[in-house]
Amino acid sequence: MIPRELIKGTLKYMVLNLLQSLPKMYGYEITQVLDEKSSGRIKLTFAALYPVLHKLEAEGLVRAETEIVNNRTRKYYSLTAKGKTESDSRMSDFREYIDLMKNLFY
Amino acid sequence: MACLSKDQIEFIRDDLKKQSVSRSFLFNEWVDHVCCDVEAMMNKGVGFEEAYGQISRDKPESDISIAHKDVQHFLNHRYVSIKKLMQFAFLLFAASWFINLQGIGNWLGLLSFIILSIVYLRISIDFFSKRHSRKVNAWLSVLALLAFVGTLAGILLIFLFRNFGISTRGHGVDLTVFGWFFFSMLCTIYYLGEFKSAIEYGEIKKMRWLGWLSGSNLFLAAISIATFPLYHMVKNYIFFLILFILGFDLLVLAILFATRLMKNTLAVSLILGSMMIVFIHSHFRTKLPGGKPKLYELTLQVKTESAENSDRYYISMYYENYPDKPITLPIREKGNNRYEITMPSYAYRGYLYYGISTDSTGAEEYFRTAPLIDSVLLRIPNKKVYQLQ
Repeated sequence: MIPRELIKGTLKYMVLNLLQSLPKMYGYEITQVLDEKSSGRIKLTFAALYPVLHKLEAEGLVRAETEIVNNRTRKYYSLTAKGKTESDSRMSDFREYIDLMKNLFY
Repeated sequence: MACLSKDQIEFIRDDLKKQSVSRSFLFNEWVDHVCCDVEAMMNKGVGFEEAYGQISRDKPESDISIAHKDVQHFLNHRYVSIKKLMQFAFLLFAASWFINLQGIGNWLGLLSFIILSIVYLRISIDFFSKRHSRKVNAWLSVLALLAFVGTLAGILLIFLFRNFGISTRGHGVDLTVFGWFFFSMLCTIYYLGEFKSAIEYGEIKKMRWLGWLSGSNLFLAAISIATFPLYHMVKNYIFFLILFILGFDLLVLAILFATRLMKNTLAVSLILGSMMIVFIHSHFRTKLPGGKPKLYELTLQVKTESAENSDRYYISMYYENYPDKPITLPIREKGNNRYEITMPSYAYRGYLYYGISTDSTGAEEYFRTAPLIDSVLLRIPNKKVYQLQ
């Protein structure tokens, strides 16, 4: 399993990256996609994911829309125009950081 | 692909509602999350009751509690710097009433109110930036902006009136009280919202108390505003209203200290702001060194046609803005046939109408009967040679 500290520090980038690839996603869907893509090594709890989504929303990077799906309220998250520009720049910073880590350790 | 029926969703919702988490603003997302988990298990062939039972055990209530607290902490943490700014404004305000070297008290007072209005502006900007997370934040931002405009415009008018005698028709007072009213309204809406979504007993209790406190301030601000049109009817009771508000604010401040609620930035800003705004309109300020108006001297040289000289003269006068409030005062002899009277500076730019006599009754009579009483345009300090008839 990946240590929680590492996931916590990079979760924002994971969410931004996922939202770049899909027009909109809801919380549970994000947890499932990350679980699947990481082959079960990243299992997000409600407590870990939703604060990140709300912080991104408060920063104006993500927009939330509520819809009624299967008889219940569901909140979908999508990138705003600002979010698209910002996430490009943040992802590029993040990739640079990963490269740096690779150079440092390997 | 299993999909929960309406009844099953209602069952889950009702069951989760039994927990305190139902008050959280994350509740709907929590319900959807749990439903999705149950559906995922049902897809593996597990029955609804068994699936929900297992999910309930795996997903403790603390999960949503942690998320709720985390989001709330993020939304509120920026207020720390605002609170420090507010406390600085209040310290400056308090200093302005005790330090009045070379008249700097007025400037310190002005600065403290400018900082108070900046606090309101920062709160407005902060709510505006969080308008996406909660719709009500946009309205709270507007209310904080109105508080900013009212406080800043009001204090500037009061300052111009008290220090330069520029007539503002009392609008400075109106605007600052309106500023206080809007900020109280903001706090009331905010704390009621927090009360509705609080999930822990201690938090519910705290938010209920802060909501009550903000509501009381809103009520007092509304009463203060009602005194504007009803001024002539209630002017004798305004002192008691001010006394009550200041007493209430002091008591609340003590309770906030005692109950360790001073970290609630909005509540602290509300109480300190309320004290500042109400105090500058009270008579208590004149008892303090910084609250005394700057005094100017009007020197009159009295020339008498007769040889009769008096060691004391009386001036009967009224200020241009207050014709219904004539007063009679003795004028001090300064020597060399010069007499001097000292008066407060503010509000008296304009004409001073006056009559002078050797006794107070004579001055009053002359003042009442003379068709053309003397006047002087007060650009204090001023000097005038008065020819006694």
